[in-house]
Amino acid sequence: MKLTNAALGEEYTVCCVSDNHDMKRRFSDLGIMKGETITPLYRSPFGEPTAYEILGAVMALRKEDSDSITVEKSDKKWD
Amino acid sequence: MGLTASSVGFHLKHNSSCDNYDIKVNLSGNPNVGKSSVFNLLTGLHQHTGNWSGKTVETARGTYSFSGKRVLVTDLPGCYSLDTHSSEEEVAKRSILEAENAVNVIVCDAALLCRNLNLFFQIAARNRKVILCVNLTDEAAKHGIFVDTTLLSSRLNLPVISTCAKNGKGIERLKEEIEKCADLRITNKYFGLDMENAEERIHLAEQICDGVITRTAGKKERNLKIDRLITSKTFGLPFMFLMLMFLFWLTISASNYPSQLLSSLFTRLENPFYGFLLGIGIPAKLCELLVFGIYRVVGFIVSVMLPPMSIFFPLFTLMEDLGLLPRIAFNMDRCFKKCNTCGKQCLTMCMGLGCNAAGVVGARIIDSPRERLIAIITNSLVPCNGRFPTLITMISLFFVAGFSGFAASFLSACILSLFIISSVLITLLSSFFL
Repeated sequence: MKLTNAALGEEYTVCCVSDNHDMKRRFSDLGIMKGETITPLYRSPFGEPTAYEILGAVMALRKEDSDSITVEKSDKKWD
Repeated sequence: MGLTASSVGFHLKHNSSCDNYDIKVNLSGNPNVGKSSVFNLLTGLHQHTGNWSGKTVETARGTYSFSGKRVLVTDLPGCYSLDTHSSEEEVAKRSILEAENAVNVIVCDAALLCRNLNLFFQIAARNRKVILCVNLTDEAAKHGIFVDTTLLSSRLNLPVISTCAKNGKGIERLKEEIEKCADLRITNKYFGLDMENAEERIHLAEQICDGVITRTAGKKERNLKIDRLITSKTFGLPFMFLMLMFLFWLTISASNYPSQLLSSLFTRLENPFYGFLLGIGIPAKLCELLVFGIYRVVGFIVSVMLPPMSIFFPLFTLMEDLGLLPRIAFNMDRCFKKCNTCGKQCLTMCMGLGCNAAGVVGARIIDSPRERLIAIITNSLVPCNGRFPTLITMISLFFVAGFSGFAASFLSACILSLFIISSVLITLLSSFFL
């Protein structure tokens, strides 16, 4: 599923990031890459952006950016 | 707050005289880990620090002496990696790659060690001399996160210094290690390794952090609840409005008393001053001009302007340090997106509330020239600290003349806040058409 549609407060695992090269690189700098855990925390009053916890830090992504990330719900952390 | 001589040290851009120093130090690290605070402690300068990412765009330089050696410290803009994306990261990358003999101090946030090591590996792979500085240890401890620096040091085979920039803990040790590191012909064990793959770097970082970091229950849950509340659909926008109103109410009601005090003081001094001037033989006409013209007007202005300004500005700085600005930017981002401007413009707009000059200087953080120009042009549409006293005076003269006490200050705060809201709307509107 798209990261945009992920439920707040649940843990997700990143499956893939779309192939737009520049953004993919940027995301991997921020720790958003295959296998990492990502948790949507809260959403702006206007519906976007949404704040996510990645590797301990909180970052906000706009809708078009979170659309390019595919996640699946995780029960336990990947190794 | 902006780029003043005292805030960036001597010559910001002249690299020519850099050769006269015994040791050169590059301070690098992720955004918002407290590099500037460490820099200030090392050099004794007063570079502006702030609780938001991307505050430093230009590099700042400063010096200190340690055991007879002159040390040149360069504070680099924060970056997440050396694969550059934005102008500030480009600046950081160039400085890191160019300075071959420099000691690289990589500043990390103790709470985000694993993520910060990502950049550390990239720098260590390209520079021989590196020191890891784990900063914000006090903040991390509040969140229940503790870093075992001895274990980390032995795993990385490097000096690791834990610092707390708030009380200066660990700075002397950092200076010692910098000197030692500069002297020795050592190479860190990651030098020359291939660190290009981001996934491999993160995995390596996770392996190293395993066991180094201990977590206990901390304030994380509570902070998350607060953040959820101030960004929620129901409370987010009212909260921002009430916060603004509270700030203004505090400013207006607290400045009444010192205003009256100053005004009566100036009035009381008027006659003695007039008498004194007459006494030293100045013609009566000139004395009247000086005392009842210039002196009286200056007295009025000072007693009206000074108290609100000196109350609002510290309050605003407190809000900045609490991290309110990024939350406001988060809440407002959609509006700026609709106007086709950069989300960071909200930060510079809020800075403009404190001081328009600082807001315009702050627009450096915006990458696209077009969006930067819009942010600069529209910045003055939001009235700043210096214009509040005039607004407050006008409001109390024309809108709340019939009220007194709490009602008057409350109503003035209401009207002033509405005024600010309308100026934000005008900012958005003009950004849309620019």
